[in-house]
Amino acid sequence: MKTCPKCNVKILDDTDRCPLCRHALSGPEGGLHSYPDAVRSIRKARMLENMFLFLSVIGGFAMVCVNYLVNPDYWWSLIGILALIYINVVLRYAILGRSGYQAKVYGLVILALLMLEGIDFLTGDRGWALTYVYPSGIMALEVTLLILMLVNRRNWQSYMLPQIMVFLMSLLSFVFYWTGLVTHMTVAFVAMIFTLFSFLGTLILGDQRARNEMKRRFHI
Amino acid sequence: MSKNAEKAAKKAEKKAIKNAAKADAKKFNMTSDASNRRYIRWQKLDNTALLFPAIAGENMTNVYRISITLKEKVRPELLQQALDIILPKFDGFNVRLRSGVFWYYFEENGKPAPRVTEEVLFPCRYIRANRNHSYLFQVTYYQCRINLEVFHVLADGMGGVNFLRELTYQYLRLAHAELANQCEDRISDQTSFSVEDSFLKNYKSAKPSGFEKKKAYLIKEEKLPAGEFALMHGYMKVEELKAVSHRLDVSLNEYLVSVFIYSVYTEHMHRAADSRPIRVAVPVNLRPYFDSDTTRNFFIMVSAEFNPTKDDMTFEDILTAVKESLRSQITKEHMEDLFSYSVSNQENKFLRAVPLPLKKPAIRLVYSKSATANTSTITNIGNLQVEDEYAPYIEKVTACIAMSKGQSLKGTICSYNGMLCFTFSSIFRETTIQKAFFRKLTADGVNVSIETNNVYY
Repeated sequence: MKTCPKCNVKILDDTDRCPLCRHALSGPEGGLHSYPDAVRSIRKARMLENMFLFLSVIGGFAMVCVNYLVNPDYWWSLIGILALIYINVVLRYAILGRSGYQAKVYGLVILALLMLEGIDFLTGDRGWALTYVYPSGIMALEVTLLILMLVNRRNWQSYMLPQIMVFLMSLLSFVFYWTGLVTHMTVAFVAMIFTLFSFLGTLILGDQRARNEMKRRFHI
Repeated sequence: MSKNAEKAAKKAEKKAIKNAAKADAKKFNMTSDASNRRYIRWQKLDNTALLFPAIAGENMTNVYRISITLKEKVRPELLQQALDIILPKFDGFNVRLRSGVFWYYFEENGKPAPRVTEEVLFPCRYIRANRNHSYLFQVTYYQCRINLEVFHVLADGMGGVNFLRELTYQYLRLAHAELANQCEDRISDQTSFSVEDSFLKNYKSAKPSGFEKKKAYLIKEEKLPAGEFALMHGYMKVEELKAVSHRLDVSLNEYLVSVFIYSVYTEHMHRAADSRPIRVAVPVNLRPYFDSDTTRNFFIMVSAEFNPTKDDMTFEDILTAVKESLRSQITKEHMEDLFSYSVSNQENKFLRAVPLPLKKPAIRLVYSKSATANTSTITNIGNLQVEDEYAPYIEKVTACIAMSKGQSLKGTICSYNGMLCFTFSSIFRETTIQKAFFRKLTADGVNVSIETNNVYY
């Protein structure tokens, strides 16, 4: 065991300097290695994430340059940049990110919708993103929840609150209609009915367990 | 024995362990068929636990670690088996966290126990329940050490010790046949399973807030790179510390808190007067005062305060200030008033009806304001008592806590078998306060041995 002559403490680690004052230690060689080398692991993971971001920035810049030189009348490079932003967010949030899978599903759907709305805006703003893609996305989410309920039978009731959330999201189409962003409501109406009846079906067929779940989720 | 025969024997042993674990899982209803049909228990969070899910994140994990170092290398497959056996019995740990519309709550988990893995990263990292079978604690190992990391929403230090001790006993019975024969294969008499919300049980009526709000002196130094976390354990004999503290007419805890404050005063304040006090938060275990043996949270924060009203104040001035401030606060009546204020907020009809997405930012805001009321936290999880049969296999016990807002250096005290371990957890690059702390102890006649997690080299 080594000793620091300045601090007058014994150092158990396998080191030649005192961790308190950095003074050289006296005593025999050797010591404990009680902890893993965690510093190296942390630094390696950060490097990979940042490398991809850097390559995306270069890629985006290159696209803008080519667009400007070849076809400055139509800015197709903005669609490419949207796609690169989407890929980076998916990588950092969905793949490397540590949120729960439900948060990732909602987040990715919202992100995809924003990207599609952006493409719609850049390609003439015909309104197809909010009229067709948004309510279709809502129905796809609802189908995903129903599949998850079948797969995770021990906790199927835990998807009831997400079902309520998806139904409320389907009502946003009426806000889009009211603000004039959407003119045809057929798909939106189908999405609203589908999500509403999915939830009601779960509540009625789920019986006591569904009611218990609602009591717990809404307990004050 | 030939190599092939050795391989075959190891394979057979692993298979036997796996089959035993499966049988235990079936016995304790961990299989999907049984758990699909059973009623799933649920419980509300205790008063302290309401705070943690709202404020916890990567930079403020609210995770603490308690470790037991054995005198032999840990066998991971047996540790996993031990965890599989005892987890279903602990209602307080066999839970997952759910978000309601107004409150978080616990629900019985029922999934297979979290995987026991080798420690590779820093301690007290954020526990991702979705990557941990929805559990809010982790068991890892490194060489001879078993680590239990717990998200504070589940339990306080006493609850964590309760669980880790039982896990260690079960592990040792699996690892040593002679111990299994000597001791009954059952839960120890020392262990509690109570999940009572003792705050609510002992709450009588609303009281005004007794918590400090005035901003304390905050330690500011250059920090380590993001994600790094430094540990420094100081081992010392309890009898030497007691001799010093008796000589100074203070308790062991008061002495150590005073030495910490003295270190901050000399190294950072340079013994100059300052309008800001050095205030150290000291969690106090409420169980002895209210006759509780709950395994959940049941503690209150009091603050040891020192006001450097003039230059060149002495260590004895600090001792007097700490002794007076702690002893005036650590009374049953005062501590009851403190938690009554917190519980009254929880019971307020208007606040209860606020949806959780609005409650969370409000809780974070209130916490942010109160977090800077303390310079640091020093927590004492007490002396670990183990049964005589298991004591020969246990070397030492250590513990540490994660950082929080405004507090980038904290202390954790625990003791076992006559040895006390004071652990500094820090994200500061330098060790100025630790140096002053341990030098003061040695100057007072306490022999100290230091062990770190190699971040400072």
